Amino acid sequence: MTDLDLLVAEALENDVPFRRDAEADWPDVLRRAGVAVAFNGHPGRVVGASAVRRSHRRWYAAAATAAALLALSFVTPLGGAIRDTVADFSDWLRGTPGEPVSGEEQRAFDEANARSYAAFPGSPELRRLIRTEIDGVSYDLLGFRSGNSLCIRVVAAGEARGSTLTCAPVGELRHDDTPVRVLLADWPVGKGDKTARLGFETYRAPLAQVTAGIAADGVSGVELVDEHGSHRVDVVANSFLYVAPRPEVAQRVTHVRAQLADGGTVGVPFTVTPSGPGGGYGGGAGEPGGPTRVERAVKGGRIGWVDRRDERGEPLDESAREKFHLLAEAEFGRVLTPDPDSSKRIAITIGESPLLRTDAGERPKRPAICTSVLSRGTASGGCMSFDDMFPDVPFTFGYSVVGAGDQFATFAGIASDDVARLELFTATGNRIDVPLRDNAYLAEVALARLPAKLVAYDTEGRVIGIRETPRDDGPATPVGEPILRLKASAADGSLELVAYRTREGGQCWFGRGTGTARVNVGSCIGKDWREAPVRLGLLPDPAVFVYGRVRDEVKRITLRYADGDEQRIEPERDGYVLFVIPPEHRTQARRLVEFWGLAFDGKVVARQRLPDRG
Amino acid sequence: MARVEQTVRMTEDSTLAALANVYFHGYRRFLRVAEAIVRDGELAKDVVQDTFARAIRGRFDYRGDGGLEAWIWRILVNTARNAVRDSRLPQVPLYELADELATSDGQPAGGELRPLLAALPERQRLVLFLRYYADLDYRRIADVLEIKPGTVGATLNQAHAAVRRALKEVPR
Repeated sequence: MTDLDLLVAEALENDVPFRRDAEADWPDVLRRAGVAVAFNGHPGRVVGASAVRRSHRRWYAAAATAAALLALSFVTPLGGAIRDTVADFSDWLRGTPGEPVSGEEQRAFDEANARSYAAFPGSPELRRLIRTEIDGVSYDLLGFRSGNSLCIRVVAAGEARGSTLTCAPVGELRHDDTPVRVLLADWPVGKGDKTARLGFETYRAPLAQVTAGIAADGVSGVELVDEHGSHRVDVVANSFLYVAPRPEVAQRVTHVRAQLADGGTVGVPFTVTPSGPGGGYGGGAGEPGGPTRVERAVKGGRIGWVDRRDERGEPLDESAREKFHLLAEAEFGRVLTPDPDSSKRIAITIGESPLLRTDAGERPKRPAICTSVLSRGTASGGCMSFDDMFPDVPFTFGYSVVGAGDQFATFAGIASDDVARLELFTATGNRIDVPLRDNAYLAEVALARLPAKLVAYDTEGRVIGIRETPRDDGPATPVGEPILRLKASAADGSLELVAYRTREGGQCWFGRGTGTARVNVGSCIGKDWREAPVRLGLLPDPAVFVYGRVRDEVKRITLRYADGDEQRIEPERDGYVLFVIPPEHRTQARRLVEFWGLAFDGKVVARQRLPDRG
Repeated sequence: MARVEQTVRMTEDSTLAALANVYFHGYRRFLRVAEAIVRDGELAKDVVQDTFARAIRGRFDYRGDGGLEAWIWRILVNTARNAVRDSRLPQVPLYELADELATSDGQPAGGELRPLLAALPERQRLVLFLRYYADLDYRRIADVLEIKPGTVGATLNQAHAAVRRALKEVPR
């Protein structure tokens, strides 16, 4: 650093001081993002695990929304040429689709792979598959096989730049006869000029969106359907690449069909990529099979080698901690490889976690154990109390999806010494053996196969733990003009609510507050609103506004206060609610404690109790 | 033992968990850069909160390339810029600089650098903030501002030169 640097640094140091006492407020972030709403249907408050999913209170990357939009049927008959699907992907299985890249490109790939914390095993040979150019941007589709992964890499260059890499497990090809696998859907490239205002924010579409995947022999083309119609791309080198130029905001590929050489077509199941503020991965039609009852209850399990701080796996070096934001001051850290055929690793660290809080909002004095899945330059995972790692089931449970448009979920975590074997059962009827090594497990499952159930067995084959991914309302894409606007004002703030229909037949709404209620909230509810018919929230704290939505059969709402008072209100059109609590009921002693949703005949449809925030 | 609750209990996917990690580990740095841009401590807190709220809402659009933190920084800079625009905070005219810089000991300290920074072109200011407050290297700054790394170096030099000129103008 030069003298001038020092001078500037010193002046800047004084100009904006480093606020060591500044307190982060993650619940407020979640509230502003409306996350609580989207997940559990109780708008604007982070009532989350404690109220809705008590059994998950130690959260581990809590599994998301389940599964997939099964765009087309799995049962469409296939042409004779592709009956043996695994064999038909033989070029991919051999790792030789397309043409080899240049020696220079291969060396660059090898060097980058060698530097990676999540290196692909073996010596994968990079293959050139398809190249196209649209609007001044070239798109190269490359591919390779490494271990049990079939991977594609898309590189955009020119007016917009970017690259992404995504993989499918080889085992995926054995799950059914589908001759095309979508590995990437609507991956965004660059900045477009189309914008759309949703709620109170403006969203900008990318310059282009890329959908790509692999195809078996006997597939001549792939048809993709999005808002702009149907598009056909040729299959080249057992692969396909579709670039949607200048898409609309939230434009998505919704259907994919394989076109066979014999003239037939086959529907390809895949997951529509979620977009914007609402929705998730959707919900598959089926239910995961497998065991339904635990045969031997196991609680409070431990991992012996972790307790002893044995040096299993690889060390976790400082640069990895920094790069992946793992526990900065961890007393113990190891990197494990549950599946030697996968590039992904699992890091375990023990120490103080910034993510954990006691009920009083303080950091616990006891250490936490964190697990992180390391992949492609990023990490994902969670932490729990080290003293009580497996309170309910002998494994942690959750899945992650790394990049935009990825089609596979990574189930990963740790299991106690009680677990001898793990299996995943999917909603599409598949059973997957889950690699388990050094008490760490990792398996990849197509999002289109969720929900999934993870089952643990002991050494005698008894079921000792079952966990299943939840199901959600699915994609929700607000479209068109607002169908409703509501605004309420109080002395020290206001709250505005705006609602839209969604492409999928449901509705999304967004709220923006001012003054003491200065947060953004929102929620989407699908066409089939099955659970929690009363979804109301309060803002700010102490509460001034009641907002949210109730289901159609709720014609009146009773607000019940702590002092015994009651008040009845009627929802607006489509069940929306925005109401100002009378000033006398904004104190702790006289606060709002419960909502009752009443049907036309006065019968109580649902109750929603409010937690005491006092 | 106190019952341990997860703050990140609404996590519905691991990108959210990763965002929480970045938030907790980098909160004060984000706050500092936000404050440097918006020049208001309370507004800066809002900027940081809104930044992560936007990131959560847009997490499905995160491309997985370029690093999660760089993506967050990009959102933060844009959110802070919008906050400045929306709040219509007064800008310091250039002609006031000389008076404000002329302190008793001739050294620009504390808030006295503020008008000088405010007078710098926006890109120079942002590069300075990201370099000194966020401690980002040239490549990451380039990612955040979507410019070339070489441009980062040149811009930083220009900012240094501007500061040097201003400091020399101060009576010593």
